Amino acid sequence: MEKNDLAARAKKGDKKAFEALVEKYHDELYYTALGITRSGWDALDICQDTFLKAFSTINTLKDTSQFGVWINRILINKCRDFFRKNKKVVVVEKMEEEGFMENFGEDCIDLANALSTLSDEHREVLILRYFHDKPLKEIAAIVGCPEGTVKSRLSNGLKEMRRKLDNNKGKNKSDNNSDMTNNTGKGMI
Amino acid sequence: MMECAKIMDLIEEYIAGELSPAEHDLVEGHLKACSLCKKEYDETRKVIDKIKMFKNSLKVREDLLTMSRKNISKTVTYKRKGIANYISVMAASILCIITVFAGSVLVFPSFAANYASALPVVRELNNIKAENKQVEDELVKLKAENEELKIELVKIKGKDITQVNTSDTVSQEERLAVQQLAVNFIIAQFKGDIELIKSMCTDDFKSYVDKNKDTILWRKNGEALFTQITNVAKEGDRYFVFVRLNETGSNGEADYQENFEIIKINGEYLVDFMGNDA
Repeated sequence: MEKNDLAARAKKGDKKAFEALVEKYHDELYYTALGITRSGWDALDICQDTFLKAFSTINTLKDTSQFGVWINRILINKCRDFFRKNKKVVVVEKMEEEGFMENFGEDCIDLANALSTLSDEHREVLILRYFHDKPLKEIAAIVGCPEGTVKSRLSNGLKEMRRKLDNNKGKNKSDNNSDMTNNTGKGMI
Repeated sequence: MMECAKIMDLIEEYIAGELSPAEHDLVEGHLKACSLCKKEYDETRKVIDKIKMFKNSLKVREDLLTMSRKNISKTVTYKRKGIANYISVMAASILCIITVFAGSVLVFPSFAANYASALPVVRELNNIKAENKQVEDELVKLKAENEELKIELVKIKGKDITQVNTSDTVSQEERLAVQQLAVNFIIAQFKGDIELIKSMCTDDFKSYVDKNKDTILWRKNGEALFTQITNVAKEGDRYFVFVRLNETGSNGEADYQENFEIIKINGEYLVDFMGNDA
């Protein structure tokens, strides 16, 4: 209710409401962008672009109670734009080198690698679902597809993740057996 | 198998806790009885947990997030100020346009005076026009007075002659010397004293006088009536003075004019040329 009020106030040009919305949604959007782009700096840029886009077009938002869904949809579209313009692959090490992470546990390396090689549409729904525990209905509204499609994307994405993780596990075992000294435990994300 | 396919389809939502109580009970009961579906559930649960663990491991530095939030708020505020500035610029533009329209009244005053006389700016314009007319009238009056001031009565060789001030390039001494020479020349013309005339001329003009005695000597023993004389102009070393004469004196109208060119040689003013004019 409070968030809805904030969006309505922001729509009327209330500067304090804008700032409050930034406080409330910034980190959620940032982690979504980070999970999708795998780059801390790019995620920051996308996050900023998302807010600017949102606040410059908030007059077009008819139902201010849907501000959360609306701004998440803008973010997803920004991420898609990002991938259209940047085909680069970001490595896990770079995420650490960027200085955004206080620590990055090695237990997560395999999963990060698997997540990074998923298709964009699978990665989007997995991140929205498991980074933020969003309901299927909301995810469907954000990514712009039916709930059934979200369910199948989740299901297929999870299966793909399991397959990749199993493959990585087998590869790591193989690497460990062949050359223990060369295994960094880090890969592409 | 039909049951398993349906359960598999519900496993993700079962883990998320989004199933209805009936569906939840259905899945829970099936998983207890079906090892294949239980395995699928365990594997799915494991991957989901890993993804959540991964998210929780992304400990982004709080100072960077704070900086980002502040930057966004600042940028949004700046952008909105930009919009406000844009509106200000628009307002300024509108004011400018109004000013231009008002200014156009000055460009097309007759149009404004006729068709927009109620406008304050036009009323003001009409007032200014009225004042301008007064100033113009006063200017005409002043010009007339000024013309009068250019005419003065001078006494040359005992004769009162109206002087028209057309120039002020010479000193009073020069003016008087040149005017006296011209008046003496004319008096000599009317007396028919050719030698006197020649004594006032340069050598070059003496020759001209000798050759044009009939033209130079207007009347013998006559009386010249001076009506006007200009003050003296000077170009280079040459002085110019024009004298209007009335031969009859009957109506006071000058009926001809003599134009003199006089030069100063060794401190003496001499007529170098004299020509008649209407």
